[in-house]
Amino acid sequence: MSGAGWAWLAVGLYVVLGFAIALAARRHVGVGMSEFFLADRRVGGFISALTYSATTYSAFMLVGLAGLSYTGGVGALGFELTYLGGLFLAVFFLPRFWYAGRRYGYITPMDLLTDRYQSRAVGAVAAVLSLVFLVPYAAAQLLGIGLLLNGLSQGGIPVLAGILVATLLAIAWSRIAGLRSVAWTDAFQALIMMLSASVLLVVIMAELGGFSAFLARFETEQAGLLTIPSGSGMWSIHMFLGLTLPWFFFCLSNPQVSQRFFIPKSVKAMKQMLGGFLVFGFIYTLIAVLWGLGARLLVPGLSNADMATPSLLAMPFIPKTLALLAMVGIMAAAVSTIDSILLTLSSVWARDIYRGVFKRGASEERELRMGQWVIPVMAVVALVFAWQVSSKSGIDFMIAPLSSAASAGLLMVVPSIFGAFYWRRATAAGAVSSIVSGAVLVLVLQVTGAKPLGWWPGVWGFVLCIVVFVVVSLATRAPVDKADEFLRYLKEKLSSGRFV
Amino acid sequence: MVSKSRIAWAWLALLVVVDLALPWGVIGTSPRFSGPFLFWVVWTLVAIASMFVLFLRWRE
Repeated sequence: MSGAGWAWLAVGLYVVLGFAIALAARRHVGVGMSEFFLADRRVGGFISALTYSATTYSAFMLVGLAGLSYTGGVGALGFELTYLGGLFLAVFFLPRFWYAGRRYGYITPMDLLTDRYQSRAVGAVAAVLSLVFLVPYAAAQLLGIGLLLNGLSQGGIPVLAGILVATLLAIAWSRIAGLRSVAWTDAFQALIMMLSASVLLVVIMAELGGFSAFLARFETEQAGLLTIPSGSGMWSIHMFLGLTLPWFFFCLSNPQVSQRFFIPKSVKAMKQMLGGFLVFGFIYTLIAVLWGLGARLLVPGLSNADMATPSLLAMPFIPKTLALLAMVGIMAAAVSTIDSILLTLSSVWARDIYRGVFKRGASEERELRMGQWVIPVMAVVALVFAWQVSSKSGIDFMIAPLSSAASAGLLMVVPSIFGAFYWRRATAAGAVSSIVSGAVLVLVLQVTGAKPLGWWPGVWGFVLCIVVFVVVSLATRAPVDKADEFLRYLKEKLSSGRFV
Repeated sequence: MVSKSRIAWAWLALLVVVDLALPWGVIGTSPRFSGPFLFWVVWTLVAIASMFVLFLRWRE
């Protein structure tokens, strides 16, 4: 059988298994928005941890981050581990989201902002921000799958075919049973991701003569990549902060992630979710970076760094079965991220735009139908974007920078989230003006490619966003009755549960 | 008395400063795995351990 034939067979098995899990999840589905989009807030700690992990870690890791490590060396490790350190924010915000979500029945993070600021405009603007900036992020995942299948089949599977398969799977698995099918398939896929990546790392290190030999050889042949700002000078403080700042706040700024703060069934499940994710993330990050560094020794001279992992998996010393298992693991991770994004965007569309702006008296049933309808539309938009990007090359169109650029836009909602939980004087006008001004600045800088004084769009946007949020809030009237009630309730809950 | 929450925020701020200051100011030029690579691994383990200390106290 040809390389393409084996790859299609592996994809076929994965699809069948995924559908079996998704359909099994469907048997537990109830009715309503909370049920479809949050699994009725009754997800256990183990599944919560794995769906959080699979949603966060995707094609970006073993394709994008491995590619960034291949090109830039140790700075890529610092970038991704700084993101993981940013999970410290979840220690503060996870219980706050969770308690507020249960008391007020929030479906989306924007729903929370709408209620806290007593303004539908805040939720709608934050929703539009998500719709605009999550598309490139979803597209980066699709692109990862396309490149992976193309590389492993030695060109037998066109990039577009991989993108198309992933899009259809993401649509199907998010529609079958909402968060239940997404979370169940995520959990299974996260285990495959970790297992296959670990086994492959062992094989790669064995090919390099063992871990100690790898370290010694890398220090001899690629010493520059172990330094900051690296031999090529790639990791200037400007680039590091430009990529890392949006990533550091990822758990708050990305709604497909922060929406998961609503789903654990108990405080114990919350702890398991956070702890499980931290362990998973640390191990998986090291694996991805070591893949990239190993590829630098085994397949030097690649013109497109995002091909580092596909090239590595196609090498003769990798057993075909393991390569296909790894391919399925990466593909599953990417699909699990895309279907989570689609599910979140559909809930955002239904709750914060359709019901929040266009049809305020809409029934929950109609709201749910509108959310489900928008899933394929968003998927097609992401598909077109991914196809366009796949024909370009260069650092700006690598998967990691593309993902981080998307998060730079989403970062603009972070001051409003901080204000909602920590600042009684924060106002709707402050939130709306900061999100709009920051996002416009980020878009203009990204489109023009401008980096004033060397700083990246996300940095400038974030500074402007904070200043506008504070100044406008101080100049306008805050919804103090709501703020007092909201903050008092959380203070009571948090102090009784020993939260910080 | 300074609240636990403020201490936790201050600790996070310190971690961020160290995360940038050491690789770009002190150890960045070391061309070995015992340089920035080991630093970021240890930095992350310290951050994760800090998080565990805080969230393992949570109660229903």
